[in-house]
Amino acid sequence: MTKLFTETDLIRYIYGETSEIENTELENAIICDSDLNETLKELKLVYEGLNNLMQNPSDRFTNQLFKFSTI
Amino acid sequence: MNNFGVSDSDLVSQYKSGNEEAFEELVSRHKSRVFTTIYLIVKDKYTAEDLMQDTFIKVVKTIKSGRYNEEGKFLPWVLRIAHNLAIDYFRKERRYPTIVMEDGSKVFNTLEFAEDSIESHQIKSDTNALLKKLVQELPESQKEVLIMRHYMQMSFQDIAEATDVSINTALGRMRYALINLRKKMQKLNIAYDKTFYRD
Repeated sequence: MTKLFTETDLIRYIYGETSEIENTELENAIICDSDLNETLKELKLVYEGLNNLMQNPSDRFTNQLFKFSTI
Repeated sequence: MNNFGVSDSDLVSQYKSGNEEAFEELVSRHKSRVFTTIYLIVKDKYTAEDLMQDTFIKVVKTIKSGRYNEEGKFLPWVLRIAHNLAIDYFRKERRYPTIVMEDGSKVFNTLEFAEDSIESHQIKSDTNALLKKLVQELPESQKEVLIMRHYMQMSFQDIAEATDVSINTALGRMRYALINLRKKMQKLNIAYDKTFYRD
């Protein structure tokens, strides 16, 4: 019997919280289920977008922080 | 451990022994994640920098006083401090987000393209700004889980314990957060797919 995977399972998969067995089963399911594959693609898009939101403080601030550590 | 083979733990030990460059390496290595975690909560870059400074003041004082627990992981510890300071600030101030640009101007809901911009770079920059706004507009419970999982890299189990809910609730909030973001992005017809997911 083929296991049915949910969006929550896909989210756990994207964030590396599924077991190796789950990964194998899920990756096989994605091949056969176009809806599941599409949902995974959409979730990955958001995931990549969130990665792109990473920002740095200003260089001026970072240099001030370095100076503080020497106190 | 990083690409250079020196772990955070080793850097902390070196810093305790007086190696200031070790602290600089720790900051350089993790400043993006710490800053982003704070910024997404407080929604203002200058406030985020202030709170990041407060974070590392606590870090330095704890390490130099010998109270830092070596068994704990450095980055999760720093992110917990940062997150707590940000949440405390947000709850105290609690206002609608006002994002201030470096020149003092504010980002409004509409995005305007510069006439002489390189189109793809501008699209990506505006897309990032819009996605950031969408994240900041998420319901607090969803935003909290999203920040904890994606930027603080806490497991869903740890998030559940930290927020005093079941793991299923934590996962459900994350699911709604990601679905909400995707739906809003589609509704606003963001040129997202072409920018971030080139075939």
